[in-house]
Amino acid sequence: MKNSIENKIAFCFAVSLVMLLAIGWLSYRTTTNLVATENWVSHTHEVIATLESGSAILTDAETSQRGYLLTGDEKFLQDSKNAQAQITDWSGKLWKLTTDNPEQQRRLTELNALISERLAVLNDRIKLRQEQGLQAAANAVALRLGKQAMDRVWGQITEMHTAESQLLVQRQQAVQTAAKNSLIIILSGTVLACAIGLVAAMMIRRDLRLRQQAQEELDRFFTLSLDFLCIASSDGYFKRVSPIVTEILGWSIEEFLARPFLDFVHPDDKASTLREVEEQIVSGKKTLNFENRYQHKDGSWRVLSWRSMPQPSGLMYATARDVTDQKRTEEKITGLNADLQIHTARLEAANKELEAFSYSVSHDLRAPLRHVDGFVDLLGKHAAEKLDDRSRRYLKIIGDSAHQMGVLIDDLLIFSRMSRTELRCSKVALDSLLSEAVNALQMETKGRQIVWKIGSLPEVEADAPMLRQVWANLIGNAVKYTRTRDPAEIEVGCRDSGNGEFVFFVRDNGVGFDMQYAHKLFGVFQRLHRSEDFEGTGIGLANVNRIVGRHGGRAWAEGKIGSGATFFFSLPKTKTETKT
Amino acid sequence: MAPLKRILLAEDNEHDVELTLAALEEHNLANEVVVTRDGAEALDYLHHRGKFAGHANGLPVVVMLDLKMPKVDGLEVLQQMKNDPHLKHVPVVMITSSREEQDLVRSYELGVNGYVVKPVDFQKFIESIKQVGFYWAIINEPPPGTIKHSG
Repeated sequence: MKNSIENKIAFCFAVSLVMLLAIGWLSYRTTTNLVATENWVSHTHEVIATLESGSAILTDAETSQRGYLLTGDEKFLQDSKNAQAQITDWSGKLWKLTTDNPEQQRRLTELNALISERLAVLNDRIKLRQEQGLQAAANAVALRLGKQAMDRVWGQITEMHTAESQLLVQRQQAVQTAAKNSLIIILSGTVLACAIGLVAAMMIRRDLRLRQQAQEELDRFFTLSLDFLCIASSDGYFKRVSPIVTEILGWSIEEFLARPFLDFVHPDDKASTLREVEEQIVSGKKTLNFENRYQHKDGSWRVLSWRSMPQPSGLMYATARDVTDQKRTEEKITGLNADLQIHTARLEAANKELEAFSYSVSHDLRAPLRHVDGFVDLLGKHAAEKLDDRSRRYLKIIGDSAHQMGVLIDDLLIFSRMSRTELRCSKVALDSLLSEAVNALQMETKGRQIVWKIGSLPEVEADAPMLRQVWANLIGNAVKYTRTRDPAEIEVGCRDSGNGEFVFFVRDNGVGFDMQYAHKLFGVFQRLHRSEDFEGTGIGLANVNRIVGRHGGRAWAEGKIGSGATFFFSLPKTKTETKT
Repeated sequence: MAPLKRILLAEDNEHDVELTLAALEEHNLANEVVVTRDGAEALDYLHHRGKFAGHANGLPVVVMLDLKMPKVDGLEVLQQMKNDPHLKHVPVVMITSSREEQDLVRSYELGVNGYVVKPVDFQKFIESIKQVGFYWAIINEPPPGTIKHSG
């Protein structure tokens, strides 16, 4: 854009220059022509004058001859002779004058012949007068031969005169035309050159205005920039800085330019700053995100993040941003992250310990129980005859207790696993999980009359083994606590709560519970029934609570002693809906 | 020189050894069992080295491994056996208290032939061990090179 304007201006100037040169050349040529033509005009005038002088000489010769013929005075004769001699000179002069014009020279040759003829007649009459006297000469003159010859001479001279006059007119006309044309060309050329010059001048003006505008915009950009812009010189001083420096560092521009920039840099950052600058000058590579601390006028330090670009001129164009607050925040975040990492590591360690503990429980606690149970059994067989009923009862209690403890350990392990293993969610059909749980209870339901009412259940995004455990616990409880009912009724269903959750329930017509202890139902090892009445470890519902909680839902229960219980749990359905 | 036996039991707990043998006795298999008390000993037996050096060649019909043992644990014994071209066809059954998923997964990855969790209930325990012994020592046709009858 800028280039094209410059090109256009140069082109305009070139054109007007060429035109002015052409006009100059034309003026020179016209003037030269005019001078030349003027010369020719005077030449023509000279020729005409010469022609006329010739006439005078001839007239003179004739007049002198007539004088001699009449008077016989020798003085006339001498005059005539002089005149004749002059004619030769005249003819020579005329010949010279007309060398440029072959036509006139041809006429001159003819004229010379005619003059010679006339002079011959003239001299013949003179001879007659000298030899035979006046009468003879007068008779000869009366023959008018001289007059006829003279008339032809006059005619020839007149012809030459006319030709020369015509030439004069032509030449004058040519001069006038040339002068007129030149005038037109010079005038129009000058006007055109002026016009082009004017256009160029206007273009320059416009370009200048645009440049000025661009410069102003650039200046505004420089003065209004929120980043600190500067130009640094290789002598270690800033040459120019944007006014924001006052806002960032407190110094006025004058104060800032008055000292080498290293003066403002934190002592610990001077070496790295110098290194960065030198490296940049040597390599010519740009600097990105170099940070150092600059002193604020109030004595505090501000962290600036620099980006700069070295120039071959040795100047450095740089921008800086005050990242002090950002730095502070970053440090805070880094600190928090470190804390978090420590906490996470601690948690992980604790989790690992717990895992190891669970593993030990699983493996090592069960072994002695098995031994108690096994050896009690072996003892029972081995000493069958020696033992009385009481001893046998003791052995049975020992066996049952070991067995109960085994169940307890297993339940605890399940509870621990449900808490610490990762959720592996997939789309699961709750109705099929439910039927799996019901089938697993066949041992307990054998021989009992149970009326199942199972509603339709949705698919949810969840960890399948965990939800199977939920059903197993809830259905298992329902079956257990309806043991005294015939028929037992167990209803399972689901409803949409309306606030993005599915609410599932398991309702039974069993022994129920006292609502004032409802809050204890979901705690670990919390039981509302004696184990002589209903066996159990008090972990099942804690499991349900934990699993449902991990899925983002809740569990609760309603019941009344003797009138059955309903256990609810909710699961968020957002996941389900977005996935399907 | 210890006699060659058809069942190798690797179990560190003496009570468990006794209960296991009591269970196997019901099928008269107790005499067929050689007991090692850790994994290293089990491997020595299989390779006929250490205190089992000089044994006649021959492999057990089944190796019953406890998971947690001193020195070399059950998983390591299993791994070494399955990586050994000479031993890799010998059936290995884990007999363990652990129901942990990681143990199950690891065992099957290593190519175990059976995995039995020892029940706390002695009757169930006896039942399990009896069935394992019965199946591997009596019903199953062992790979070639296995001892058919105890010496």
